[in-house]
Amino acid sequence: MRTLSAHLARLAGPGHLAVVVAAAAYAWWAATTAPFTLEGDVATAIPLVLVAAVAVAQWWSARRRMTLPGALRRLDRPARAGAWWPVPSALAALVGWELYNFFSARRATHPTISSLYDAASRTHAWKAAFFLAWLALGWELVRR
Amino acid sequence: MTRPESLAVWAVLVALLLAAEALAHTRRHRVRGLWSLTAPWLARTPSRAVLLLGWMWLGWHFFAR
Repeated sequence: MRTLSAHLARLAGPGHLAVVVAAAAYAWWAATTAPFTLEGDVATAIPLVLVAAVAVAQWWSARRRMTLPGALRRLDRPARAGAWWPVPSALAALVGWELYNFFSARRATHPTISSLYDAASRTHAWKAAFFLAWLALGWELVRR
Repeated sequence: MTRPESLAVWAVLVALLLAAEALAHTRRHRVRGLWSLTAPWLARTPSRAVLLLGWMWLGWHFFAR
């Protein structure tokens, strides 16, 4: 529970809160765009470029032994103690179920992640939530 | 199998994943979480690039194309 409280406390700081609100607003706008349109491409490409730029800056600063601003710096590696198998087992089961559904005949009775997303993303709030989750995943990846 | 049954299996599997990850946060030294498991891959530049490209593909697949 200690790590979760520390994580929530970090998110609740004024700087982080502003970033979270800005990301939520961006996701809400991005969810108004449709796939296969220029707006959809731009809304998706902007976070891709930002995350790629931060990753390149981190790589470059590590090579040159330079120090990046705190918000762009990589976090310390988490502890490696504990059982490794629960999360990979749950992920493997999800992947297995996805593959079973993907290769099964009728999509209506065998929905895949993509088809579930297609159905959910017809609701603006759900699409915004998925977009925000994708942004959060990318930011966590680049900070680790 | 019917659609509701398929959806129920999806729900159970997602709940299992969330429970496993929650265990890593609540009892940190008993279960390793997603970030602890991916740390070795994120530490090396080639595999870090592959993970970031995977994230980019995910966004492009769902939101752009």
